[in-house]
Amino acid sequence: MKKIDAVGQACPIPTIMTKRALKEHTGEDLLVSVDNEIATQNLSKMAEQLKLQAHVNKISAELYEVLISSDSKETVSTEETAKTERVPSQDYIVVLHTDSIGSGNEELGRTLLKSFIFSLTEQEKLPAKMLFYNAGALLTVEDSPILDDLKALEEQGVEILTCGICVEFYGLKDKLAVGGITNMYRIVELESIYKTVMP
Amino acid sequence: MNRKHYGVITFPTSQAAAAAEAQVKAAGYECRLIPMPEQISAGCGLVLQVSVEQTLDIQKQLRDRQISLEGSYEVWFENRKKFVQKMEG
Repeated sequence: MKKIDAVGQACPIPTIMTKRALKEHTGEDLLVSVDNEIATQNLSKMAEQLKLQAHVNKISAELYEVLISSDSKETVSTEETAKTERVPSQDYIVVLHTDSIGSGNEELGRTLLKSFIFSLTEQEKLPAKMLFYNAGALLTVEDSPILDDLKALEEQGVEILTCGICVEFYGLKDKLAVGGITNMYRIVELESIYKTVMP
Repeated sequence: MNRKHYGVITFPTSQAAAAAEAQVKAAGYECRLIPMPEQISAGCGLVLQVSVEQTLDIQKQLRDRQISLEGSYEVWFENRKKFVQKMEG
């Protein structure tokens, strides 16, 4: 079994290291050591995307081991996964990296953001996913001014994803109130395959 | 708030809508500011979203308080398509 030590590595380095190792050691089990829970969530999510199994073992508050293994004998390469993730051309994602839209007056920007999200809930075609990073991460946590709208979007099948490093930076890890955590590696991947709306 | 069927009250300006929001909230009604439905006006102001059952009551109370408003509308969705109709009151 191949072992990867990603302790001390900032998001999304553990995911990148693991993805690379999976490519080089196709079919082999991998044991990845990381120092935070968000990294384990990112690794589990990546394993799921690659149709692999992930088992998380918490050794201590600052050490986690994630065992990534494949159930079947079939080998999965990242190229094959990319192929399965072709999306219909009309599918789009919405990316929010601020809690206020546009430059100028910030209060107006926050009003515009609320209007934007409300209008989004009434679109005939909803986005496939919504990504939140930097101050956008303030929108998916408790006390978010748009929490109800985001929950309504999630109920209708919109996947809400917030950047893990941002949640950690703002000290909001325990306050996430809608959707899940993702990493920059996945954000770049999604932005490259979907039509991206960034208000 | 029912997302598929609600009322909106429109005002001469977005600032007037924001002022009315504070009063309507203080009176104990559920409400929020949302963008002007394009079926009502092409302008991009804000309007007050309220429960459809309470729309005309709220409109009357605002008029009684001399708050200038333009009118009330019923908004509903069928197959994700939006419909808007003027409410008389």
